[in-house]
Amino acid sequence: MRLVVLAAFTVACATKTEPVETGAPGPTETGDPQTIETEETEETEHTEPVETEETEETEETEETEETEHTEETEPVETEETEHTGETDTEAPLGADDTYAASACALVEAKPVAVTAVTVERDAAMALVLPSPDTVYELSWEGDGDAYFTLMIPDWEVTERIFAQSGVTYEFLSASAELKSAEGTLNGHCPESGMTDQEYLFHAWNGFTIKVHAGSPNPFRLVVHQEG
Amino acid sequence: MRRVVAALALSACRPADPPDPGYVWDLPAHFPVPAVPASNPMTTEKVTLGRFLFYDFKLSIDGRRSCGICHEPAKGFTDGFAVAVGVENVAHDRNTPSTTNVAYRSPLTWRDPDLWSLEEQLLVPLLGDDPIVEMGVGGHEDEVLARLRSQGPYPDLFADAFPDDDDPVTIERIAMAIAAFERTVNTGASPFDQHLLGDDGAMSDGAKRGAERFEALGCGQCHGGLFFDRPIEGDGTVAGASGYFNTGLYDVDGMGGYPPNDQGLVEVTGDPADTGRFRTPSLRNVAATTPYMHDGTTPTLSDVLTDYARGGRLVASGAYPGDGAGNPYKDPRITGFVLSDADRADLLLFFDALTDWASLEDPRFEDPWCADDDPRHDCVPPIDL
Repeated sequence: MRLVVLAAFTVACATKTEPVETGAPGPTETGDPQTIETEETEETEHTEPVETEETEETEETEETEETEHTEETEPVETEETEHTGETDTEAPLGADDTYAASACALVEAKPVAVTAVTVERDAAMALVLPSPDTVYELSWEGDGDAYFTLMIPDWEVTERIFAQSGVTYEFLSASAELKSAEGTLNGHCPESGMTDQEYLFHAWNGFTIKVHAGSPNPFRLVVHQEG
Repeated sequence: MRRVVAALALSACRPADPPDPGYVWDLPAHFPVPAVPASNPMTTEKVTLGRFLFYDFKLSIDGRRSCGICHEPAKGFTDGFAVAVGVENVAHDRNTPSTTNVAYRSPLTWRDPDLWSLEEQLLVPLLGDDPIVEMGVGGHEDEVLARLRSQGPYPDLFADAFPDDDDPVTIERIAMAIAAFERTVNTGASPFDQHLLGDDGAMSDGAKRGAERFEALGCGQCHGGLFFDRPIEGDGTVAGASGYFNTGLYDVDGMGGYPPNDQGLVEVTGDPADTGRFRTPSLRNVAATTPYMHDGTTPTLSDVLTDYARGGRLVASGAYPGDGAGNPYKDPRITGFVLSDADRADLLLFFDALTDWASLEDPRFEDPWCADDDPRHDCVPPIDL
């Protein structure tokens, strides 16, 4: 329930700004599916038409609900953190996690629009690159699966992928190594519902990502490279 | 087939630039001596310098790019990305072309018919910012030159390569040396080449059938000559330069439109009929250079065949949907064909037979900064930025 509400709030924020159009094109493989919470399929439908005035009202209402539920979710984060093992000691956490803080700061920024494709072989037509100052807004036609390419132009790097809550995706590539637990809610901006995943990439390449049907459409995405 | 290809290869050089007789080329037996600009004659010293520079990260402003990182030997001297990515992590509009056998390529790049000189072309990724900053040296030339004057083996290498210069460490000399090295990266020992030279067992039966199918389908009309990158003229000879063709990859508006950021030759000529026309790439080493087409949006060779078989690509979704088969600017010869599973398999075997896998590990072309057992990412020369 909390995720549903929070995601709706995020969507409201997201609609405050018009996405910037871009063209975008990268390569492929299979394995390592990773999943993030998907409870809020419903509020996906509320996505587009939220107006500024309504947003304020929505915020008030949802802040209340959010507050009520915040405590419920805390343990979830804790549990996930406990599962993470290696990541717990490596990733900067709390106030020192500048990547997460930066991603949160970007949630309401003007997004770069990327039109994802619905045919896997065309994934290179929708490109996303790590960027410390870009929030992407991905959208696609229909309500089925969608695909895009994450281009990683570096070796042995860790990327932090912050996606809007409710988005489920998987790398169609065996060479993207998941470091963090699944579905971690970004502790820096829980109200935005942004989730936080950490991946290790051993070699530079384009990685095809499949966004599962039922994910919010559009959704926001931030990719930060550590180091 | 062998006779035709060998004869056509002789027309690959640009007449204005004669072969360089003063350099001992180590070429495949059936390759002609490449044309070399008189202003930049080949020398062993220059090639050596060029090889070090080609793989040196000091040639990018932030030490994160080298020529060789985007033209990686193991990937057929391409980068594996759909489109190139510059130092600022901004995507280029087009796919990184291979630099193998580039000495025989003319003109260069995907859509500029006036760019024939490697020395000139090198300045685009090195210094340019259009369409993106690639290596980022533009505006920082002095900084990069200072690195080369003071670091690594360069003072000696430059002095040896340009013995008449008081100060040979210049952008112009860098371009000349890298161009000289690139002219030596010639790969011609693929199974197809061995077959061409008389080894009937070098190509599998399937690859031979694929070669026949390739010709029968008319693919060789654009991918002709020894390097499979020249159109065939009406009299059956190979054209002196690569052609530019619209292959029906897009039709975003039903009127022949291509994505606005990358419309092909029309951006140079202004002629609407040139919309979507890009230079025909060589098919040598093609199995190693995925992904394909000018913007890298076709992931496999099988997908390429699918698109040609239907007479153009259908883009069903995304930012640029449309049916390229209906593109009014499409080359009229791309009409589609029936492709059986057996044909597809044979053609893919032929493409593999065009690939000289061994040459992609040829020590002459390797990164000189790498020890033999270093993983790829450790092949970085010391840099003091």
